Amino acid sequence: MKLLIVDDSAMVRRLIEGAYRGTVFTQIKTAADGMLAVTMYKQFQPDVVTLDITMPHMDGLAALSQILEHNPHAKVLIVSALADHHTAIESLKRGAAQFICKPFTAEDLKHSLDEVLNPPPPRRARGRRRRRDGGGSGPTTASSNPAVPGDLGGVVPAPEPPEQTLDPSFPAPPPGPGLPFQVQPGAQPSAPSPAPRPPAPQDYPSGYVAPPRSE
Amino acid sequence: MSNIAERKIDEEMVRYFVWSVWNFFSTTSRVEPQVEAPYLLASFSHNDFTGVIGVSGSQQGSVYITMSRALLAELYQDHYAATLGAELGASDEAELEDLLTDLAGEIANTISGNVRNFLGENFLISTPVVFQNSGTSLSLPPDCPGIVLPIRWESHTCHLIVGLKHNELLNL
Repeated sequence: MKLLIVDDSAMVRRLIEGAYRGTVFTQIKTAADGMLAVTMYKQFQPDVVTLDITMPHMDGLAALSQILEHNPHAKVLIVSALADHHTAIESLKRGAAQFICKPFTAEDLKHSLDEVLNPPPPRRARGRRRRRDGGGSGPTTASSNPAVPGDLGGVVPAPEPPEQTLDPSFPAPPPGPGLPFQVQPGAQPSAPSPAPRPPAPQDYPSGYVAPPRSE
Repeated sequence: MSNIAERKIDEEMVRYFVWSVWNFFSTTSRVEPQVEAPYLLASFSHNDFTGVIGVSGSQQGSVYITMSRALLAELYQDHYAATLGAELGASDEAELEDLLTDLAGEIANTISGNVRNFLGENFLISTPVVFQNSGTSLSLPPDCPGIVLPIRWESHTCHLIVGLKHNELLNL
């Protein structure tokens, strides 16, 4: 199977690629922005795409629309730090198969990819929030409602947008891990001690150094 | 110059950031950080790497997270890769430097993105920018309150600086 990883963070691309190299995915390619992702999707024809949302040049939602325009049955897993109601619902409405919120664990990622590859039987989509130990709010995951699992080559009816996939009321953050919560006006930080460092590289492959070009 | 003690800090928003920082480190490293008492920004110096997220919409300003190379290297090599079962070794120093730069941006992006999940779609965030300006001072516009959150993780300390003000023009 083929996997296309789309994220403007080289580290995240490398992370997912490293975790899935030598697994069911025998071919893995990566793209650093939405525009490149659409081009690569058409050439590579991956079975699954992991897609970030906040990216330069073309964001993930726009790329998702273009990918699904090319192949309405594309299996896209959104992997993003943005999981607000609008973003999550919008991505699922546009046809993403699953949504996972950064930061995520290996288990979260595996679970989401498993559901993309082997979607549950058709039923009314439901939102789900998982909590990790310690009462912290875990990553938000949600899925659209693919009508028929699997075969990209077959005749598969396009999934209908879910009416409701996430709980629209996001909870307040948990009380926190023993937060000492008093603002101290004027308190001075201990300035970090400057350390000798190598000269900064002129360019980074991640695209993080320079803000996105306006086009 | 405005009186720093009179600047208004939205403690609820700071709380979202505290939780988001805690969530990031806890999830990626399985080691809980200690978020120490926040204080108002008076003066501050950048550490080795600073990730910056621009904020617009209902709030205006920037969010900075500044941290040492040692923290990033430990988080990257000893925790991030192990947590996800991936091989992340860098082939040389230059590649490691690129990846640490990338990680600094990803931390800023994830923390700010998670805060947006609570504040909603009117809290708009930019793609991250990372710079290395160790020892130089960080300053915010006089009318923009800044709050510093010291974060202790393992044997390291990094700082999250939230410099935001309510956008009264939009009244969101």
